[in-house]
Amino acid sequence: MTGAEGPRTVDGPLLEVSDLEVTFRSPDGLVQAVRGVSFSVSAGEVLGIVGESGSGKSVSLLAVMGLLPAGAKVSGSIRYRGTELVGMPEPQRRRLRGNDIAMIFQDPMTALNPVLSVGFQIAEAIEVHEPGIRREAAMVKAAEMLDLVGIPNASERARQFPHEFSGGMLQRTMIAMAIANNPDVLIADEPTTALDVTIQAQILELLERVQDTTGSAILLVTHDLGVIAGMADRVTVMYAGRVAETGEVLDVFGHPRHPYTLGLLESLPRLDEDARSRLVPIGGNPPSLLHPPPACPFHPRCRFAELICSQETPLLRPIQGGHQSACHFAERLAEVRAS
Amino acid sequence: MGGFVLRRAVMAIPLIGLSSFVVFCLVAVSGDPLGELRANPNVPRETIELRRQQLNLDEPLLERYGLWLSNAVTGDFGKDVRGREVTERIAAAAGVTLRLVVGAVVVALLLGVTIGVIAALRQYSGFDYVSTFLAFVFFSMPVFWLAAVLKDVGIRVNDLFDINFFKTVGEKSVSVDGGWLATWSDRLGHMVLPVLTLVLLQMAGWSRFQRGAMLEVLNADYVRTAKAKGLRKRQVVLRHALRNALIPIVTLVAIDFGLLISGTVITETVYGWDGMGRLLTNSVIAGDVNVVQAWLLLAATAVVAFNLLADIVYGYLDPRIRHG
Amino acid sequence: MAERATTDEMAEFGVEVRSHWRLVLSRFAHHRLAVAAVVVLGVLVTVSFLGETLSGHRYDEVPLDADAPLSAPPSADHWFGTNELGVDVFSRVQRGAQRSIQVGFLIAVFATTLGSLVGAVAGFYRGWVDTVLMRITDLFLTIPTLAVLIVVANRFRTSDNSWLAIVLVISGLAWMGVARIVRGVALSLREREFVEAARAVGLPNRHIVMRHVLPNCLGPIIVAGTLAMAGGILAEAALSFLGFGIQPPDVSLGGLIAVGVPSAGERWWLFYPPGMFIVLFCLAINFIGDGLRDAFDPQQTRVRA
Repeated sequence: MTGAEGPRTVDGPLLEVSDLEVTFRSPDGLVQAVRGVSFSVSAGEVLGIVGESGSGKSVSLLAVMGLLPAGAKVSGSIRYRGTELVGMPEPQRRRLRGNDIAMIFQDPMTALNPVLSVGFQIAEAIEVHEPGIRREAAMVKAAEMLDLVGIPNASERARQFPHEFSGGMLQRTMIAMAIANNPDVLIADEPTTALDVTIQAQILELLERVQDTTGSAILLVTHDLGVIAGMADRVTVMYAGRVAETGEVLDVFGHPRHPYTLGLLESLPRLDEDARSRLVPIGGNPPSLLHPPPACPFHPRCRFAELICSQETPLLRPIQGGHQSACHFAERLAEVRAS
Repeated sequence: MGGFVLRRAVMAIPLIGLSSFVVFCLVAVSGDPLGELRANPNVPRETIELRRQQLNLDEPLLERYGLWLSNAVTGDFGKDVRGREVTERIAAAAGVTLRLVVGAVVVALLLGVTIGVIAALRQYSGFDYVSTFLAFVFFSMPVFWLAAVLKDVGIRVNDLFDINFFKTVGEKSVSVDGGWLATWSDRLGHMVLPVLTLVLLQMAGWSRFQRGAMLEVLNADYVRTAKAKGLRKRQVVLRHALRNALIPIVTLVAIDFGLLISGTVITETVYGWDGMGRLLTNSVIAGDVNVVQAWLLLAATAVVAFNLLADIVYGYLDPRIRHG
Repeated sequence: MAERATTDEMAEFGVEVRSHWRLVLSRFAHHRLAVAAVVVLGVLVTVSFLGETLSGHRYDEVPLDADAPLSAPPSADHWFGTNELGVDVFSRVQRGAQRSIQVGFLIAVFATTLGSLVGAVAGFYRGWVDTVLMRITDLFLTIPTLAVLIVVANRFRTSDNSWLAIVLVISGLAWMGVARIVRGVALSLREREFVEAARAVGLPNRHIVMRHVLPNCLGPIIVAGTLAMAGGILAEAALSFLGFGIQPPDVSLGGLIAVGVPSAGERWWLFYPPGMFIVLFCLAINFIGDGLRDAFDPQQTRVRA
């Protein structure tokens, strides 16, 4: 359980990531998955992180949770309620995991243990952080959580096994498991990607409801811009292990200031477009994480690229208010707005 | 679950029946059951004639099979070349083999699982490399060679320490002086080497299998979820990883046990144990068709029965199948 | 129109296949143990087949010389010593090794061919074809291998070319594993897009199985083949050891070991060398098989960005 004060009583961001760098050693060389990423999220807020596979978004989440594999090197700063997590000894870190900072994963069908009952797995999350509690009490609480997330016949269902649940119900269960200890920060890694579209909406709605009730911060990672637009307050766009653009959702999506964001938006089919007009993909290939392009990682695929882009790394700089962009020519994009 | 078991059991019976027919045909074409008798000048004509009638050799193959089968289902497997009841001979031999196999399986299982799990938890460590290499070496070793090597080693150790502990022939000595301790020690001395042979070979396969199963589980999504909940590493390994990783090996052990009943031929030959293996080789050489036929039926039944057992146990352990 | 689509399709798959193999080869080359095993295997095969040229003696050469060394330990002239008739043991081991390699190779070829066909057909056509083939496979699996080998091999004890009969019988009991594996691959491939594409273009099923499904099974087939080779060698050696396999005067490693067992203590050179050959050879094959398995289907820990 978190401290006596709820998340809302904290001043400033609950979770603050600064200049995070994560590298792995692979048989082919050093993989630079995250190269200097910063973001933050406050109570009651939803921060969306958008990017392709390979952008470093999932690795960043795992770094926050402390769930990276053994060979990973992490540098930079991750502060939760002002306490530094990078370099924190594991026993302390573990106490935060599932308790103050919780995570739900992409594929609910494989994320739960098939041989243990659903209720047990939720009760386990409770027992770990509430050492005195008895098994029966934890199971009762688990059933309550299932009920909270909208599973009918919760107490019966709690004794069932994951294969007896549908995908949507399993994801609800994952959420129940994650919020069982009232975490301040809820991290969701592509929570709806593996689900049907209709179920997606239900899950997102559930997450919103959870946030309204508990006031927790939500870090929502996805590659689906629509999900971000519907749910997030702020968005951070990642590319090749770096932040390309960040700001309020309306600002970033309405007035993109990075060619990558522009490209993403342009490649979406839109209802208000001429049905016969072609989709505009982003040309080129995703960058290699072993040998990322020098300076601006997007420059090989960028239609605005000039010589400086391959020589000088553009830093994330403020454009207007909280809206920031890592592009030398961010201002130029103001003129080139997609229709 | 009950339905699942019943269905598999019902399918098992025709499988055994069909297997017995295939095997009957193989035995029938594999030689003349009267050959040995005929070759022996001391055997009178009447004995050969009696044997011919016993084996219904005048009948066509299908009839012979039918006759044999109708007797077999009542438990009558006929008599062997020297007039002894086949059932008795097989029962005695099976007992000997079981004494050898049960001990070996228990030891091999404990060691194999432990080694496999540790190798997976310490992947790419020295322990992992060494155990993997040794497993490969034992895979590549012919049983008879290993058995003979151990026999040689046992004899040398005996000489070296001037003791007579490692016995290499038979299950027990003909007569042992001293009380029950001496008897047990004698039995143990006879058991060590053959059991060790079987253990080393089974352990190689099982430890590799367990390592693979454990690794697969350790990399599974639900293990990551368990960690994300804040569970201690030990809890994650024991409650989530190990519990799931131990399910597959149970079925493998059951199946291998069924195979071992007929698979100790070589070890028994090298160490002179009068179990199923020796019974087979001796009977084949002697052209003792009834024994061979009954032997093969028992072997096939053991395989099918243990496969069924493996399925049942797996179904019990894995809820996905229990409710399927 | 259909003609051109086929050629394009072929070309497309052709390119895919070539770079796929290069990838596999490079992944294999990274396994130092597997590469070392290939070298060892090469050495063993070469040494075996060089025969007389290498050892300087014939495997059946019984010396008529009165003071020829009998049951002599290894020396400069006889690298593995001599047996009780004075015959050079090294050349006998070579001869036995030649046999074993031949036998193992043929068993691997037969077993994988039969198993692949059964598995590919069963997996691809499914339905009753699959059921029948799989029931047959199950039936064969209930047959206790060594026992039946003994029973059947006994029949051929007296014929010449007993080794060929042994090969056929062992192959006949070794194909089931391959069949299961290939069936599994075929079942999953069946649903893949390129099979649907081939069908959409109008290619006959037979063609799809031969030119699309089977080549993609090649990885697991080759791996299964290496295991079948090792298994085949061990099975033949076991049979020969028991006296049911390759018969004298033909030389086999199992037979040599059988002869060497009683005198393993004093005359170790009769017993250990043939056994060591088998162990080294099968060990090399197993490591190569392991390396191949990893080369065809690497299991990397997932690191998703």
